Amino acid sequence: MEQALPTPSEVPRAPSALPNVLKAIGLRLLFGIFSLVFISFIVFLADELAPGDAADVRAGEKATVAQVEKLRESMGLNRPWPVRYVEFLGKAAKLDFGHSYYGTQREVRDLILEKLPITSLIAFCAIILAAAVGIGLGTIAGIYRTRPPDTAILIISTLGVTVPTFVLAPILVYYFSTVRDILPATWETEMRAPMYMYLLLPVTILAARPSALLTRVTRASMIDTLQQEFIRTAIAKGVPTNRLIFKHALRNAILPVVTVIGTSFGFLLTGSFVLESVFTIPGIGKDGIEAIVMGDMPRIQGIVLVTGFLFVVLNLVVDVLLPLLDPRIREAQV
Amino acid sequence: MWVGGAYLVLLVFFSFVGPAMRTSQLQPPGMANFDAVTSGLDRPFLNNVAKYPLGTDEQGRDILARLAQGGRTSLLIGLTVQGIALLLGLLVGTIGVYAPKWIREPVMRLTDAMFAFPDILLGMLLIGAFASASVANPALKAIVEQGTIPVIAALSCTAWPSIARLVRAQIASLKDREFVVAAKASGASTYYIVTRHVLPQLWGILLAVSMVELAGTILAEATLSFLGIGIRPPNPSWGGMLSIARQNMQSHPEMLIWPSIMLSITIFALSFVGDGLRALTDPKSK
Repeated sequence: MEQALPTPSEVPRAPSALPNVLKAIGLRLLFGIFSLVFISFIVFLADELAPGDAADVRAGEKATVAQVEKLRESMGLNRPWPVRYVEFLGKAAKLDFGHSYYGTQREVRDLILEKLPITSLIAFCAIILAAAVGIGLGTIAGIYRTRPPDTAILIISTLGVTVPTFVLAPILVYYFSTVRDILPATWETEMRAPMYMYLLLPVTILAARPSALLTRVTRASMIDTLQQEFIRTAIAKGVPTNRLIFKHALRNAILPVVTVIGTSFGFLLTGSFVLESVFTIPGIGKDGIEAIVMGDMPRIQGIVLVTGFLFVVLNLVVDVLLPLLDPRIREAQV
Repeated sequence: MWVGGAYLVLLVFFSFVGPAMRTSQLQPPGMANFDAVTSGLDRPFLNNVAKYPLGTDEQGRDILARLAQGGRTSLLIGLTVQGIALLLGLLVGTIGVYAPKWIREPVMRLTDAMFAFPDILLGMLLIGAFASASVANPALKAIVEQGTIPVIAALSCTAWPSIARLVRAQIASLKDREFVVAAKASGASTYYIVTRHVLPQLWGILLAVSMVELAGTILAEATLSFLGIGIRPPNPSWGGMLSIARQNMQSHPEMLIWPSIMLSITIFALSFVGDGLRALTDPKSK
């Protein structure tokens, strides 16, 4: 009998998991780069296909055709488009999007660098809040499945998903600033209260929808995990409830949640455009809307490229982190 | 689901008959070319007046008529966008399965990239391009200032990739089913198989998904209008009405109520009916 068992050296060794992970990450990186090139090309194209270009705008409405043509030549706009696209990419890599067409004609880079921090701060706070609320409520709902706490949480999260941000925002502002007068309704350059008071409402409203989504995903994933056999084993072994929930169940249930956090960045973008115009926060979203209303192409291009870049990179980070978190994905052939 | 469906039927009726009905009700004697939607009738911010059940807005226009017209705009834009998205999605999805590899792969990678591009950014870019073009081209100015066409263009561009991916996945799963293989074995051409055997299987799920996506499109249109880059005044839209209501929130908070309710219930009903249809049409869930 013992002779029949293969010696350890004869057992075919499982192929190492590492190359697969690297391959998957490599492919993901490649797609990320492809997305970035694609976004930059679309951004370039938007200006290209629209009749009228920078020379038209700079020359003004009264300029003659010859004047515009001369200006176009001096600005290098009559070279073939591949040449200009490469130049555009080179400049974009240095965050050089040119000058704004209107107003004080500031450099777009300065505008973006000035306005991005406040938008990022709000988005960052909102995603942290949404993750905390969503995972917390989702876990509770998953544990109390079909009992009253679960039903209550489900109703709230359904409302959170269906009520649009720009419906929720005015209602909350009306209640907290106009009726109760405890929170400021709009941003002020000279603040009368500590900064977090100004951020409280926008961050809460921005977090509402991602929280609701995360709650639902956590709940589903938790219910799924709690039905697995290793949980039954753990209960049979007498693992204390807290340890069972947080260490055994939640750690396994959290993975789909991380993916959803990644996809919520897109929503945060949309939401911050709405919120910044409701609360007149001087962020990149409000600036973007102004640029669109005026048709200020360099500003639109700069904002879309920078936010699109951030979006792609953040999703990339989430996707690359996921296999590192989950040994099952790490070992499966992704 | 049936309640949602009944609401949607009522909404269609309300938004298509409403404006004309209010116009004939409110038409002052001896005034031709009267339109209850865009003309100011009375003092602004009237409330609790039998003549205007929902009151008047900041320019003294009838809120009921504007609400109905806004619904019509939302529905028309939503349906047009979904129609375009369905056509493009079906085309690209079918190409993604049946075209030779050198066409198929780039097309699907492009679709993936479009899918990964945040909707709002692409929409903004397009609307911005329209606005920028209108500076040099006066003919475009009217289109941009009215707002419908840029919104439809922007939303169609963002709506088709998800349909294309769905169609591709569905066709790929149908491709090797017995009835398709049988048709192929009996000598049917690819075109015949796709149009007669494969696509008819998809209508149910596409209808269901379109309903849910329609909710997203209406929401997106309202968002754009709320931000002032969608449907522009004086044409009414729910998003635009909310935006005006927000500006007058301190003195007249009641203006927030109706557009909020209409928008929320419509989106809720559409996703509800869509989910119900999906459960009905998906054979796996039976």
